Parts: sequence; C-alpha cells; structure tokens
Amino acid sequence: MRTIENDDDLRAALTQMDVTDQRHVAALFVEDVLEYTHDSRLRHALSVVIRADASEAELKAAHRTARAAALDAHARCGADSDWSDQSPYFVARAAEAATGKNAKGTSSTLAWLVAMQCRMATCCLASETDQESEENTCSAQRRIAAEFINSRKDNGHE
Amino acid sequence: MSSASIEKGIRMIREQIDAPIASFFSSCVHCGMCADACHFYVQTGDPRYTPINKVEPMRRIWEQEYTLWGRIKATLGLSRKVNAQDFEAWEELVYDGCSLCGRCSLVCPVGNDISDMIRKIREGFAVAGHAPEGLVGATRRAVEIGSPMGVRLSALEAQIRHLKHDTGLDAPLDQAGADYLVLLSSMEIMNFPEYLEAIARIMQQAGKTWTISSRAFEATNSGVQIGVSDIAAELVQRVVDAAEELGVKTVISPECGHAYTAIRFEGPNLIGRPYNFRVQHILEVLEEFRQQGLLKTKGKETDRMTFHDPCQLVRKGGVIEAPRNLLGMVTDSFVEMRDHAEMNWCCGGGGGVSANERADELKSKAFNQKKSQLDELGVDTLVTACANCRITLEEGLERNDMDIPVIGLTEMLADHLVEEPGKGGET
Repeated sequence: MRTIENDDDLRAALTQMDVTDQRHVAALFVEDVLEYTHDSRLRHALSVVIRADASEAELKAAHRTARAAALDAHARCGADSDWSDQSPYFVARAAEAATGKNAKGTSSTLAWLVAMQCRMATCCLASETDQESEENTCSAQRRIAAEFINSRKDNGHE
Repeated sequence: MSSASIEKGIRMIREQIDAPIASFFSSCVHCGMCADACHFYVQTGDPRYTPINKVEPMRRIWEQEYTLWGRIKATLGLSRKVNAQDFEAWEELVYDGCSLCGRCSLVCPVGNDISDMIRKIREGFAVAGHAPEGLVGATRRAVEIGSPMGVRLSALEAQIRHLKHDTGLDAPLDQAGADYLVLLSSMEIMNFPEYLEAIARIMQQAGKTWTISSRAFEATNSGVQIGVSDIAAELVQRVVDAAEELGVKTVISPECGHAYTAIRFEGPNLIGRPYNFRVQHILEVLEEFRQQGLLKTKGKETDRMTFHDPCQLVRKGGVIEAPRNLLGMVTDSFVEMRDHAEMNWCCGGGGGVSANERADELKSKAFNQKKSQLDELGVDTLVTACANCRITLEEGLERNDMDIPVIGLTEMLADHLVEEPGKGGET
C-alpha cells in the first residue's frame, strides 16, 4: 500500500500522474473542502471531472461554471471584505483550476495548484490560535492521493 | 446637499486652478480628439463623456473668476454660476465615467493633462459630498483600518503562515535594513494570494532581502481615487514612515496601477518632500533582476498570449519594455494588441470605477473596447500586471462569453523559476 507522508511526496506523486488522473484527484481535493461553500454549481462541475468518460465539451462547460462561481465569490475592489468569508471564493478557484487546462512548462501541476487553493480556503477559516485546520486539509490531501494511487493499482493501472 | 457644502466644493475647485490648469483651459482648441481617445465616449457615443466636458464646471469657474471676458459675462448675467444641479449632473461623469486612464491626456494636441484635471475636480466633488458611496466607504476604511477593503494584519499573517507551511518560504515582517519594502494591495491579499508566494520565490532566487511592514502593508490609495489630497497624503505618509523606520532602500509597488502612481509620482508632492528611498513597480524590479541575470527560468508557455498594459504603469510610468522583456523569458507566443503600450485601452475599472457599484453598467459598456481588441487577436491567455485590471478583465470576459484566462505577470514568471534544491521547501 502506497502512503504519502509529506508534501514533497505528494507533489512528486501528482507530477507522475497524467492529466486525467490529476483532474480526478484535484476534484477529490475540492470535494474535501466543498462544505465551505453553498454554491451548488461547483458540485455539478466536479461530478463532470470525476467521470472518466467526460467529453471535452462537458469539461469546458464545467470549467465555465466554476469560473463563473469564482467571479461571483470574489472580493470586489474597494468593498468591505472579511478574510474569514473568503473560503467560498478559494473553493471556487480550486474547482476552476481542477476543470481547467493543465499548467504547461511551469513548475506546478494542475493538481498541486488545486491543492494550494483548497488549503487557502481552509486558511481563511483558521484563526491565529487554531492552525490545525490547514494541517488537517494537507493530511486529507495526502490520504486522498494515496488512496487514489492504490485504487488505480488495484484496478490494474500502473 | 446643503448650499454650504456646494460652496465648499466650488471653493475647493477654485483652489485646484493653478497655472497649468488655467493654461489648459485657455489652450483647448475643441478638436474632440480626447473624445475619440476615451473608451467611455467611444463605447456609449454619449457626448457628455467627452473628457474635456467632464471638467466643464471647473472651466466655468475658471472663466468666470479668472478671465476678463468671463467676468464681464458673469456681471451681465450672460453666464450661470456653478450650482448644486451641476454637481448633481456631473458627479456621474467625474467618477463613474472616468477611470483616470490618461489616454485623453496623451492624445491632446496642445498637451492638456485632462486626466489630471478630472483628478483635481474630484477634490471639489468629494468636499461637496458628491462622491460615490462605494468610494466614500473605501476611503473611510483606508483611514480607519489601513485598507480600503477592511483587510487587517491578521489576514496577511494567516497568508504568511500558509506560505511557510506549504512552501517553506518566508515573508518577513518588519525586518529592519532589508533591501526592499514590499507593499501589497487588498485585492491581492483577498483574491490573488499567489502574488505573495511569487514575490517570496523571486526574492529568494535573486538573493535579495525584503520585508513587509505590519504598520503599512497596503499600497492602494483611496484618497487619490476619491480626490481628497489630505487623506491621500496621510496614506502616503504611513508608507514613508514605515520605509524610513525600517531603513529600506526601495519600496516596491505591487501589481496595482494607481497605487504605483500614488506612491511614486503623487506621493512626494502630497507630503511636501522627497523620499530618501526609491519607489519602483514590481515589474521595474523584475526587469532589473533580469538585466542583472538574477532570474533563471525554465520552460515556455505554449498558449498564444498578449499583455494588457495597466494604464498608470504604461502611460504615467512609461514602463513599456519591462513586461515585454519579462514575457520573452517565458513565452515565444506573444502577440501585441493593435493599440498597445502607451496607446493601450483601459480595462474600464481604474480610477475608483471598480469600487463604485453604481458604475457597473457603464464599466461593462466601456469594456467592449477591450473586447474588440481581443476579438481581433484570438489569444488563449491574457497577461496583465494589476489586480484590479485582472478582475475587471475576468468579469468582462465572462459577461461576453469569452474563454480567456487572465494571469498576473509576476505570478507567471515565478511559476517558471528554476527551483533550487533545498530552497523554498521544494525539490
């Protein structure tokens, strides 16, 4: 059984995945923090990503949906804003990244970018004295990625 | 508004009329070139949005009080004094219908700085109580909390903790003697925290020391946008005090257009003395690093991309080559818009327009100018260097069903940095 102990391992594991698997894992990362938003559009967008037979057109539509959700949730320039209310925005940004193009020629993979956005969603909610929340999200991401890799092995995908 | 408020507004506008403003009014040849340079006029076709018309109340005060013919006309009752109805009618033109982009000033054949005149007439409108609610709130928060969006230090500290935890990178607070004092905009803290990580990566690779002031991390200056110089000066002074206390050599303005001109060009005039440190936009700093060979990148973007020049950066600051040189490090597929560099069209959200909800519909119309530029180019990605432009562009693209991601240049460059083993928690 594969286990992922730290972020270096997580990043390395994500880098080795093809883009379809990265999307799938990324969608699972977002699902893990989906409770931070009430935007039902995001659940629908993620369900498309997780489906192995999703067409390019469906993915594109899911991406548009997630992007619209992110724009609806952003903090408007000059508006009275609260950092602790920004979680839904970062969840939507994570979904947008999960349904978007893979980053090419850069040091970051799609799934890693999504992982970071999800952690930022948790970061908004963590108070100065409660810094465990973000660590919980990190641990969950390592577990999700390891379980995904193990399930792929079990199904004969190496 | 009371007549006393209107009188105050008129008095304030009168105080703004200095020799340059007077010469601008007397030299205007009514050619209309400023109209064709303004995205608000071009996209609405409404002559009220002709830039020079936006300062008509100021022109009337100038004519009636500072010219012989104007005084005679006023005495004979042939011209009407500026009144409350004028403030009512012009408020929308002065705030909603101008993003202070400066394109009108650039094309004026006699060199009138119309954009600056609009900036100055706002002083009178603000004093008279004729400023948009959104800008009034933003300005109040900037004074009371230190951020127009009410962003507190605890939010920044949370991001710094996140940065350390997930990347091993540090964003040092209040480090005396650092090379650079990095300012942030509230928009970056709230919507684009990737910028902070990008700065941390770049500074680490460049081998430079940097810090953020816990007392003055905010770059944006609502005082400049609403047109209240006293407040603008106070906000500048906070940054100056922090920079001097920490003894930094350079203050870096972030990816925020008007924040750059506020601290770089208006700042010394507002506080009445020169700085003892340099002020640079982040792109100017990155360009210096590039020239010194301090930036090592790998890989190239394959998408066809273009650059939206933030108005303040390109027209006021003349920062034209830097973004293009930096883009050259990470893409071979860069194409220019038809009107670019100093002739670029504004996104429509600058100068406080984005903070003014009332202006949303007009901003949306003005964006059509940018849309037409992008339509004829057919790009996959749009890069810019201003957080406010970025959101305005994203909103405009979304409304127009255009599938073009918008990316910050600093962030994109940081994504291409060669990672050095053992640095930044990544291998």
